[in-house]
Amino acid sequence: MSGVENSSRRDRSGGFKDLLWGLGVALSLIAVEVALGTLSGEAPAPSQADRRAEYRRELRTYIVGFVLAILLTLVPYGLLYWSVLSRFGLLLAIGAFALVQGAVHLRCFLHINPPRQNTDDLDLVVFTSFVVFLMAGGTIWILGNLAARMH
Amino acid sequence: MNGATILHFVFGRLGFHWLPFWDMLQEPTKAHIVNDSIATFAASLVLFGGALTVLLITWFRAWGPLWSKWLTSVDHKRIGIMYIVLSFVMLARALVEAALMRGQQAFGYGGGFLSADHFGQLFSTHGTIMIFFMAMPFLTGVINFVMPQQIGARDVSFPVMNSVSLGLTAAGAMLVMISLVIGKFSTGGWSGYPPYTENTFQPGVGPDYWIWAVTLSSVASMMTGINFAVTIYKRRAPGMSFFRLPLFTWTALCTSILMIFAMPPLTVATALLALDRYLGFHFFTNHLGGNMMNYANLFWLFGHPEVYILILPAFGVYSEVFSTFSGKTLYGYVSLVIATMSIAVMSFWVWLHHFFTMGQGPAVNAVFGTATMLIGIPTGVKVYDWMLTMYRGRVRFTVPLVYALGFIMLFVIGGLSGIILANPSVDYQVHNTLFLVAHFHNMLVPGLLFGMLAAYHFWFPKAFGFRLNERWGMASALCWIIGFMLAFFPLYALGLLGYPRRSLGYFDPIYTPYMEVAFAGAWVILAAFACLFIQLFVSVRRRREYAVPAGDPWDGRSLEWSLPAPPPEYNFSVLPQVTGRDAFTRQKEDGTAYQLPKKFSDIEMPKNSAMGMITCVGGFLMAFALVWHMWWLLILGSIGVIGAMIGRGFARDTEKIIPAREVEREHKRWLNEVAATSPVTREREIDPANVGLAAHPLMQAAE
Amino acid sequence: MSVVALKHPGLNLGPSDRETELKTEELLFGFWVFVMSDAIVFSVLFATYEIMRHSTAGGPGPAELYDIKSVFIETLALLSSSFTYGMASLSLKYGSSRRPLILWLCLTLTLAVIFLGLEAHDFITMFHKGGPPTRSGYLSAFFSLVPLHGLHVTTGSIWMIAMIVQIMVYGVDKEVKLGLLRLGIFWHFLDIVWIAIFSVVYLGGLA
Repeated sequence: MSGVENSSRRDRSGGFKDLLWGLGVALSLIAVEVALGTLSGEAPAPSQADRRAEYRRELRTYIVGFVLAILLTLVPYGLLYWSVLSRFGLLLAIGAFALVQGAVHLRCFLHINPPRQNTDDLDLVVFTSFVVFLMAGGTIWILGNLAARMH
Repeated sequence: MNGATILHFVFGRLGFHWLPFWDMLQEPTKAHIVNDSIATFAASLVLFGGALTVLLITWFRAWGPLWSKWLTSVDHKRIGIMYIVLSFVMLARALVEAALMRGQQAFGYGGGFLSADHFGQLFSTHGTIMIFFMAMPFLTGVINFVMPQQIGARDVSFPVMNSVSLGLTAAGAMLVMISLVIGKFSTGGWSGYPPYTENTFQPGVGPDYWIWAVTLSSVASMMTGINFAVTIYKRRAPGMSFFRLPLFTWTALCTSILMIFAMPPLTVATALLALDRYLGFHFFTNHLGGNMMNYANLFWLFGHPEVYILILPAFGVYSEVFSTFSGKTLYGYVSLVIATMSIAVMSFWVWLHHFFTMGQGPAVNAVFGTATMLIGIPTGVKVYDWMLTMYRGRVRFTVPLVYALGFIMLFVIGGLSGIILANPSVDYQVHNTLFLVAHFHNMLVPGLLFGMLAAYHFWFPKAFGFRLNERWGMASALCWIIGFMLAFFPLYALGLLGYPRRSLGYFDPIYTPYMEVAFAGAWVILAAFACLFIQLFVSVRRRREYAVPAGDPWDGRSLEWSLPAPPPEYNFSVLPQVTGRDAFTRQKEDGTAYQLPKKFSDIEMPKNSAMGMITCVGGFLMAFALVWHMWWLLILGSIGVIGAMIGRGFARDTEKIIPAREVEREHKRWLNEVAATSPVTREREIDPANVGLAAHPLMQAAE
Repeated sequence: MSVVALKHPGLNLGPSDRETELKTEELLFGFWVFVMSDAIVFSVLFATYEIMRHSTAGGPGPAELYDIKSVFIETLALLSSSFTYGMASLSLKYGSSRRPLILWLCLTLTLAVIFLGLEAHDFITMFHKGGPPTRSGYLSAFFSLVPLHGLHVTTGSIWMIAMIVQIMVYGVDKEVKLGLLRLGIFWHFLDIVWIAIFSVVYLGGLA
């Protein structure tokens, strides 16, 4: 849309600076947090080696999830900002990245892990997705049909 | 700041002109006098009823026990009973409203005696009350009481939240009752379609009363759904796998899943309408980009699963009733379970059939029409399973079974009319006529209401320790069946003759005879309701004669019948080990019923909590404040409720221990009572000799 | 000590007595069910937004109203707050003292407040640009969906404050742990909803 193109042409350098700034914030946050993690002394007593390994594994999951999420955020914003794709392609990409990032959140932050997950919880997520699909999809289909017939 | 501003701030838009007799005093025309007299009478009943209740409680010095044993109780059994009491009170009001409407239409040739506005309020309150404050509380109450006992649990998963749900439902009911005293109710029907319910057409308090009453009820039901689903998932007794659950619990599970997923669209629809009305948004307005058809879409996204929420528990009740009173295992258990689950799932993809005529294209209509016809199939499976359960059984014509037989015959007719309506082309002819009204009453009255009344009769002995009088129960059941047929079958004809729903009067005399028959039916139904009250009165008077403390008056098949009547707060002294379906029948046949457990343990139960009452009062005040624009009251109410929620988070001492020796003592006392009675065969089921111990056929044979 | 099979969504605190495990599972399953019902609320509002996206009634649309830079920073803030809450959860599970836990929670809260502040500022700016919710159907739909998420974040923040006070009063007892586990599920869920919002509403609106 013209608004975005104008702004990107006008302050491309300014926009790029914003992006770098944002990245810098994110990276320093990661650095701070990893540092805090190892320095805060919250790692368990050395005698429980298994527990320590588990702690490191969980910490890594969070960090990996965070980094992935940042990347999966940066790319769609970037794709919009630099207008590289057609409108349809852009929408598809945005949707795809959103779904993947949602999955990353579910896996890394919410620890929903299909192979090992308790069936009750997985059933619930699957059924909810099914209902969401019916309700949102149905609404869009029906109202879209009505809108088309009223033009 | 002058006096007027202060008054406006304190009282919002309250004013004397909202009193029910105001118009009559200002302008005493015949129409005003008739309508306002009826309205004032109704308002007086509310005030009188409230005052009488307060007086009686004070007279019997019952405030203390009322507070500590009932209002702050988190026992699912007590909460269930309170839900059912609420629903009976609201049923009384909604039935009177129905009779008034039938009367108006019987005399409707040329106009009738009610004003259009009054009639509009009547059908709106009738529908809103029947669905949200009669049917939902009734089925919630029955599931609350029965389900935990059937799965071998001590309580639901979230007892305090259970109490909160009751409080919010009661608050919504009170809001609808107070609308009789001050202000008018919406005239937009129980569905409240905009733009008619927008500020442009109804700037008064009516739609606001409706919005907040429904919101309170829907939030309560959402929480209830979560509570029931988690209970059934996580609190089943050892050995109670899913395919050993009684059918009533299966339907309770599917109902709760529907509640969880269907209530959100309603909350959204009413919230968006509220945003339009209060803050000038444009979701459903005629101008500036509103899309009022989305309201119908959102409302029925809720509305269709809602009707399955209403009917599934009744199906569960019928399953229990048919098997118990035929003395046989339920036929086709697995097919019944699969049918129930399919109905629950399919209920999410048929909602458009409520607005076939809204203007979408034939392809859309055809898809939903086909889906609607498909959903009739599992119900058909269930009907056959029930009939086959009775076949070759030793059928006893008790009150619950009479309701069930009435159901089988009448519900099938209603279902057939539904299949007719599922065809969009046919629906274009009869949409929004009395044909539709006949169809859904045909589903709800013989379906839901008979089921709930059967449940009431069936489980009353378990709840209170004595049976209900059979004669008055039979009279009530027969009056309900006949009254329903008289009141609603003419409506099928009226609809086909072109009479629209929600219509005040008419100018074609051809309608009159049908309307008069329907009016007669309304009287028979009122008689049926009166019989219910007489039954209760007589039963309480003769409770010693009807006492069934041993707990199993009907030779029941599921675990709740293995408990004393009434059961102790913790239900089971020792959690049962389940080995198959019809768990209690199994125990009776194996000879393991009424055993003394080897070991008793301390039982941890939740303490009473005032959270339910706080949310009830707070919720009511917030809703009232929203209706009347009393913003200070809204803020106070919100702070109170939120504060209570945060405060509850800080609560630490929320459980009490019932010591093992007390449990043992109670259990032994009951077993001694059982040992001292003689078992009765089914021939003497409604005899005073039936003290609740069943001579199970196989037990007899073993002797 | 072997790795404990993860039994429910959100952080699993590791083995304890059977009864506590059952109770935790029940409580968290119930909360997860509530989150699913909340997801339905949001998805219905998303659908409403989708069908009203073009009903601008001659008023301003996404291009005129959205400040994508602000939204980007809000996104990073909220995402980071999810991460800091994860760190708080780890501190809850493995830590021996409450200070790191409280610090991580305060950091999460700070990021949440940044998010809310920026979002409120965005809304006010939109009002000034002629885009209040009363202007058109599109704006009504926007202002039901996005502020509802903000309201959830606000509620979560108040809950977080209450939890911090509880930790200071009671220490990290069983109730506090259960509360923090539920708040965690809530918090991460809100970030997932935000992903949908910035993708569908902001990026989708400007595409």
